[in-house]
Amino acid sequence: MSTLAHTRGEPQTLADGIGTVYGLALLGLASVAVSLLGTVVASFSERADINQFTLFNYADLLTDPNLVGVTLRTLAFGAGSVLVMLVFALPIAWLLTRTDFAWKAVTIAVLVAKLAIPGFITAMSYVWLFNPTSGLVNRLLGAGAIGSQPFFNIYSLGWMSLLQGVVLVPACVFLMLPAFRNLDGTLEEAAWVSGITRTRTIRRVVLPLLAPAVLGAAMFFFVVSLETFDIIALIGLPGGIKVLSVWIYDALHPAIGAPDYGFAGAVGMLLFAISAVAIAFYIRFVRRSERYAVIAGKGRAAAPQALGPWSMLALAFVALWALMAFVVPLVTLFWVAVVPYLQPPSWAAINTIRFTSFDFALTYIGGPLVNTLLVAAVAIVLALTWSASISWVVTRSNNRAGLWVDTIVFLSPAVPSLVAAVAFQYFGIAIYRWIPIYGTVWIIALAIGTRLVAFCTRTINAASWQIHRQLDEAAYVSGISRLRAFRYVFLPMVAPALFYSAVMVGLLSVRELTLPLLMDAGKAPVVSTLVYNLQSNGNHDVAAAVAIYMIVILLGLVLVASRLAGVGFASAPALRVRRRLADEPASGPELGLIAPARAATPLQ
Amino acid sequence: MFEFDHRLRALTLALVTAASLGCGAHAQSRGDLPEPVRALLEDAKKEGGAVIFGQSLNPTQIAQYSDAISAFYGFKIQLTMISGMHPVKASELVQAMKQGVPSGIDVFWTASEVAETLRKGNAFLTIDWAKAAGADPKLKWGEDGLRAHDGTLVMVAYNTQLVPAKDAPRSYFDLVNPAWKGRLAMPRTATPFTYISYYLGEDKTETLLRDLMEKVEPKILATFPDLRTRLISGEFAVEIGSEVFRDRLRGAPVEHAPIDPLIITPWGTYVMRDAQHPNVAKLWGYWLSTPSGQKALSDITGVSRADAEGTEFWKFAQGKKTVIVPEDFTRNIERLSQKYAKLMGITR
Repeated sequence: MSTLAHTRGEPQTLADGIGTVYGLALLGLASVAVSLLGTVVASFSERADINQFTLFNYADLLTDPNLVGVTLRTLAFGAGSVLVMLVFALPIAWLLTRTDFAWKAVTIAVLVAKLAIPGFITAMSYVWLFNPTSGLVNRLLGAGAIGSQPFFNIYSLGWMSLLQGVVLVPACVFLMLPAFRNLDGTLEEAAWVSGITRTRTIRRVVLPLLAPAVLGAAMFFFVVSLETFDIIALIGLPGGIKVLSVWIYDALHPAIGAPDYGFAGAVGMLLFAISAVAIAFYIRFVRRSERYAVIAGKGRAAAPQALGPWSMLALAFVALWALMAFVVPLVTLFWVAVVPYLQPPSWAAINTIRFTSFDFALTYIGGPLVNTLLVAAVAIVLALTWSASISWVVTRSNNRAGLWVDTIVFLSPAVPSLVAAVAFQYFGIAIYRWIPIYGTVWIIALAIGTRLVAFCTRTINAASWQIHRQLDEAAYVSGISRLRAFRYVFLPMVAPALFYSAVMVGLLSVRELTLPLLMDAGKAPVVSTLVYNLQSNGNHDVAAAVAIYMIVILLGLVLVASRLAGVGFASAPALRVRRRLADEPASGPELGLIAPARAATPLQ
Repeated sequence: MFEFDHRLRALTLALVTAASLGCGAHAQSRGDLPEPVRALLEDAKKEGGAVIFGQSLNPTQIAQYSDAISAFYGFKIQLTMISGMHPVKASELVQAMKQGVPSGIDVFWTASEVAETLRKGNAFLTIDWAKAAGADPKLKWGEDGLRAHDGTLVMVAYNTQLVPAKDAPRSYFDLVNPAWKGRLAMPRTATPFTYISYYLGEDKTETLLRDLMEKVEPKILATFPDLRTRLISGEFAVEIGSEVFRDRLRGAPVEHAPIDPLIITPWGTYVMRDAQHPNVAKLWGYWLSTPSGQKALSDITGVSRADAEGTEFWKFAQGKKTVIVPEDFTRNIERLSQKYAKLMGITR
C-alpha cells in the first residue's frame, strides 16, 4: 500500500496494524460506557429494580418546583469553582513552565502533596476556622458564644465555590502543564521583537494558543465540580444549600427501603445534559485544532522568561494558594493526629498532645498500602493505555467517530461516583459467569481507572492538539505504518502528558473513597477505606496519621517515578545530558519540565 | 479504652478471657455450650472464619473480635469484618443473588429497615436460632434474625463545656429550646423521628419536629461520625441521633442526655442464604447474644443490648423506662418517614 494513502483525506485501512490502537480505544470506551449506561438504565428503573421500566423518574424530576433553583445553584457552584481554580491554576502553570520562578520544585511538591490530603480534612479545617458558632476566627473576633452573632459564616455557596476551586488547582495545573510546556517560545519572541509588549503578547498570542488546554480544563473541571461531594457534604448540607448532587445523595440514602437509583439516574441524566452543553462549546472551539499546533518538524526553544522584580509577587501569589489549599489543611491534619479527640486548638488541648497515633498508623497501614499501590498501578496502566489510544483516535486519526468518542469520554465525570460504583458492581454481577471479578480488587481498579480516563484524555488531547500533523505525515511518507508512528512519534511527543496523567491517576486512585467503599468485599482493604473506618470509629488521630504517611509516601513515589521516566521532574544532570543528545539550546535553570529527546528520536 | 497497640492486645485478650470466665461462659468447655452449638463446632473449625458485613471497624477492633470469639469457643476463628452503605449493599446483594452470583458475605449485621430489603429479596437463611444455635428464644428478631445489639439512633448527647448537666434535656420536647438555635445537630435522615413516633405517636412527633425546625433551626449533617465530631469540637451544643460512649471514654467533653424513656432500635444478626461459612456464622450469632459477647461488644465498640448487665449501655439504661421498637415496625413506616423527611427539608 502506498504510504501516501495515509495522508489526510485519503481512505485509511487497518492493515498497517493501527487496529490495535482502535481496539484499545474501543475497550476503553466500553468501560467508560458502563457507568454512562448504568446511569441511563437506572434513570428508567423503578427505584432499585432495574428490571422495571418507568418514565416516572423524569416526570418526578421535571415537575419539581425547585428544579430551576437547584439547577441554577448547581451551575453557579460549578462556574464559581472553575473561576477560582483558573485564577490560581493559570498563573501557577505559567510560572512553572514559562519563567525562571525559583520555587518550582517546592511548588510541584506542594501540588502533589495537596492531592494526597483527604477532601474532608480540607473542608473540616475551614469549618473549624469559620463556622458561625465556634469557628476559631469568629472566636478571636469576639463571636461564638451561644446567642452571639458570627463575623464569618462558612455555610454559603460562595465559600463552597472558593474551597472547591482551591482544591481543584493541582489537578488543573497538571492537566495544563504539557500544553504550557509545549508552547513555542519563538512565537513570543517574534512578537516582542516586533515591538508588542509582553502583556499584549500574552493576551493576543499566548492565551489564544493555549485556549484548547485552558478551555478543556475549564470545561472538564466544571463537569467534575457538578458531582464532587466532599465540600458539599461538610459545608453545603449543614448550610441547607441544595445542589443537584444533594438530590442524588438523598435518593441513594433513603431512611427506609432500597436506594432510589431511578431518581438518582434521572438527575444524573440532567447532569449529562448540562455537561453536554459544555462539551459542545468546547468541541466547537477546538474543531480547527491545527490553528493551535505549535510543534512542527523543527526543534523549538523554550527560554524561560525572567521574572525580575515580579519574582516576589509571584512567590506571594503561589504562597497564598499554598496557604489556603495546603498549609491550613496540613496543619489541621497534623493537629488532629496528635490530640486524643477532634477539637479545635486551645491551650488545654495542647497539654493533651501525644504521638501514639503514628505508631498505630504504622501497624495498620501495611496491607492496605500494598493493595492501594496495586490498585493504583492497575488503574494507571488501564487509564493510560485507553486514554492514549482514545486521544490518538480523537486528535490524529481523521476518523469522524472521534468526535463522538471524545464526547462520550468527556461525559463520564458527570456520572456521580455513587452511581458509577453501583453501575460497576452490577456490571460485575452481570459478567460474573465469564469474568469473576465481582468482589475483587480488580473490579475496583477497573472502575477507578475508567473514571480517570476522561482526565487523561483531556491532558493528552491538549498536548496532541499542539503537535502539527506534519510530523505524522512525514512519518507516513517515509513509509512508516500508523502503528509505528503511534509508538515512535505520537507517544514520545505526548510523553510529558502521559507522565502527568500517570501521576494524577496514581494520586487520585489513592485518594478515591467512594468506589472502594462500595465495592470492597473485605478481601483487599485499601488506605482510603482504612482512613474512613478509622474516622467512623472516632479514631481521627490515627486516620490523620495514616494520611500524613500517605503524603510522604506519595511524594517519594512521584519523585522516583519522575527520575525513572526521565520526564516531568527530571534532575538537572539528566536534563543537561538530554540537551546534548538532542542538540537543543540550553534554556537556563529550571525544574526540568523538559521535552523528551523526541526531536532526535530517529524514525524507524 | 479503644486504642490498643500490640502490647495491650494480649492484655485485652486476657481481660476478655477473664471477663468471660467471670461470666461463666469462657472457654466454654464443650459441656457448657448448648447442644445445638456443640454440634456446630467441628464443621466451624473446618470453616475457620466468616465474613461479616456490619459495623465500621478499625483493624484493632476486628482483631479484638476475632480474639474474643476464638477465646470463647477455644479454637481460632478469623473474622473478616467489612462495612459500607447498608441500604446500597443490601440492594446489590439481592440483585447478585437473583443472578446466582455469590454474595461473598456470611453474616449481615444490620438494622431492621435494611434487613427488610434483604428479607424481601429472600437473601436470608431462615434459622430457628434457638434450635439451630441454642440462642435465647426471647432474642429472636423477626423471622430470620437474632437480636445483636441495640441501636442508638434516638439518643441525645450534649457538649458538657457548653451545656451544664442541670440544663441537659430530659425529654425530647426539652430540645425545643431557643437558646440552642443553630446549635442543635441532626443526621440527614428521618429515621430517629420515625422511631420516636413509635413511643410518642405520629402527631406528637410531628409537633416536636415542626417546633424543632422552626424554633431551633437545627443543622442537618450528612453522616453520624460528622455529628459526633462537631458536637465534640463544640460547634454544636446538642445532637440527636448518635451515642457517644466511645468518645466519652476517650475524654471528650460529651455526655448522653438523660432522656426517659430510652427508645431502642435493635440490630439483628442474619445469616445469608448463600453463606460459605454457615456454621461460624451461627456461632457468631450465638456468641454475640451471650454475656461474654455483649461485654466484648461494649468494650470494643461501645454498644450492646440495653439489658446486657455490666455494659456501658446497660449502665446508662438503669432507672429509665426502655421501649423496644419491634422488628416489624419498619415494614409500614415509609409514609411516616417521607412525612418527617419533608418537615426536615431533606426530601423534595
